[in-house]
Amino acid sequence: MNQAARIISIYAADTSGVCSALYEYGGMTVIHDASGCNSTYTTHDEPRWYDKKSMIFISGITEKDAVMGNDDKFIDDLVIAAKELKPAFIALCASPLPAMIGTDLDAIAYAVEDETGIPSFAVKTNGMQSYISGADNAFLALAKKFADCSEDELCQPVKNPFVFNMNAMNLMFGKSDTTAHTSADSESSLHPQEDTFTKIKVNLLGVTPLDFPKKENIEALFDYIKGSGFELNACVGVNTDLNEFKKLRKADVNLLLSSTGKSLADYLYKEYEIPCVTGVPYGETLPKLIKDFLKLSFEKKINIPIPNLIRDNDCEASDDEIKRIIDIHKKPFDNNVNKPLTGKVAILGESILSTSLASALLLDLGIKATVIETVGEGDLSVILSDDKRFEDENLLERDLKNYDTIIADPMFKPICMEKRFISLPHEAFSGRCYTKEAPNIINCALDLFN
Amino acid sequence: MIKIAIYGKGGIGKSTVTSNLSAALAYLGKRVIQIGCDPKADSTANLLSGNPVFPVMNYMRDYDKEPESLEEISKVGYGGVLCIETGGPTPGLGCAGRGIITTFSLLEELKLFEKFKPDAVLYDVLGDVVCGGFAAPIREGLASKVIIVTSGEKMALYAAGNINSAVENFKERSYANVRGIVFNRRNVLNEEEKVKEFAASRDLSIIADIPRSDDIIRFEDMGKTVIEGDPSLDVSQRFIDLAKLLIAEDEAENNR
Repeated sequence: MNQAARIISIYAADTSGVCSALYEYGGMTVIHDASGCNSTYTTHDEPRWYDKKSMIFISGITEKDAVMGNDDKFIDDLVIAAKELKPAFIALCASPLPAMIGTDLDAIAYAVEDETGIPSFAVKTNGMQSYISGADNAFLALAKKFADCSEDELCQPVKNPFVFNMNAMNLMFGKSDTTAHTSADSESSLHPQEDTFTKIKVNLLGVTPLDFPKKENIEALFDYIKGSGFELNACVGVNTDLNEFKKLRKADVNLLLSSTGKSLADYLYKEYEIPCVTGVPYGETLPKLIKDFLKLSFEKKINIPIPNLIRDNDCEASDDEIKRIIDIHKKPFDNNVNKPLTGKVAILGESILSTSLASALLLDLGIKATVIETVGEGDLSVILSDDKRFEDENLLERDLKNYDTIIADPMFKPICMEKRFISLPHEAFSGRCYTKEAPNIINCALDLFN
Repeated sequence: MIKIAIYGKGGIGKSTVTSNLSAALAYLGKRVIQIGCDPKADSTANLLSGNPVFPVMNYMRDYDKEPESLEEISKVGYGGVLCIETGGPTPGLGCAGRGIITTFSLLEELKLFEKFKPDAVLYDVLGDVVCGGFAAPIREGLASKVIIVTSGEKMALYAAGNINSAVENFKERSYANVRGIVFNRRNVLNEEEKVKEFAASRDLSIIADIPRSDDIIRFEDMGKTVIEGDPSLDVSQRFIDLAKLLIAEDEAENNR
């Protein structure tokens, strides 16, 4: 059976990606789905569900609704809920059933916006793609609605009788609940410094708990940006709110941390000429390199995909300054010295995270690793010709026989035979099962691999 | 860009009207795409001299995969018109409406409009709007105007009325509007009065009056439109006049 997973897990679906991406922005995210329960999208794939509230709903489409094309019922439900909860926006996405019958969610969003005045949009999903395409499309759709708005602007038509307010959350969850909105405000230490207006302003793109599930990951990222002398302009995905999202265009440079932010990065470059550096600051050397490249990217307005430049010996950097920065940081390793990982090493997972880790291992420990992209979607421009891509469990299992050490989510272990296995939990693959065991390797020594 | 979906009762002459309108637009120097949205996949036959294009759904069925390039599922016909057919599932099986949606998603992925940069796109759609798939061509971003083809025959007018009502129902969704009626004459009793009364009662205008013509049949037998066969004919001029009207409207909208 092609593309079937008998033993290992599968990645969170695109609908989960949408919910994760939009979780903290104060909107109402509605999945057009037959289920009456939203735990698939939230409790399994969403670590914030228990301490931050968000308006995520299921439409509860029935067989009769599907056969009869009862879109009006869906629209009526959306309007009633929107009038009561007054969300900042309404985002609609499709599970396999409406995707198969071709429900026009763009048109439904148009009708709902026309009726309520609340900005509404559809995010392209079909419940069968991965979290990457869902989150990626959601961030892009949000940017198309809000990136051009000023922070105090509601971005709603003049006739809009509704203003988003915190009562929406109180109506749903009671007044004592901490909401996704207020949580960001309460963590002022994680927000941009006020005295750094002369510093280079950096957006962090593609940061959802599906790739960065732990508070330590986010704090390490924020500390790294600030500790490197930059100003954090906005973090797209976590510890944020809609006002921060509206500031995106004010950044000097973007740091793309996972494929879920790729389309947004491209959009910000096209619309606002904000260049982008791709790479996660894993280990000790790569963060220094990313710091230099962020400055260079800002000065020269160029996009820099760091993993390619570090790992590809044949990659000819077109810019002398890029070559100089790489030469400073990329020190030769003595092949006669024992390395912590011997033999052939494979890293399984999402493209940007995995290639960044491969770069960090090369820079810090001199370990060469092959990346095996296992999601099947995302920013594939960072994958080298020596790297591999497998969506099929059988083919992957067969290929893994060629490696001595495998670095992957624990749920890959059953197909890794007796190979040396280094566990690196990935929320999008194993949910919350191993979150507590997930190490932070951002801007710190890679002891895990020593 | 001119973006038109052409609807009407089965057998009323939609494909004839559409391919002649495509040919007329091309004759006037426009870059045109014609997309046949009917499982029969015969919309573009008269633009291709009888050498049909491989329909998208047929490609998927035969090769069990999606086409990777536009060249695999398109063919250039008379006047440079790019011809595409959605085709359909095995007769009696599957879902033809879903096939149309799949085809449009695929054409979007293959960046059809960005690559071909058309001045006009014409969608030739199956007779009735029986489900969501057959309304797909009038969704936002695709066709912006609907032309209904009808004769004075009772069932043709009945179907035209249903199509007009369906499009009216979609107003709140920012779908296409009905631009008008192409009166394709069958020379039935009191035909002109019936069609004019139908149009007036629905506040629609008759934007072209196509006479019943043996020339159309003669050139169709040769795999041609009348525009290709003889643009000087009266019936050819009717299509050219309609093309000029649509071009003028498009230019006026662009200048607005």
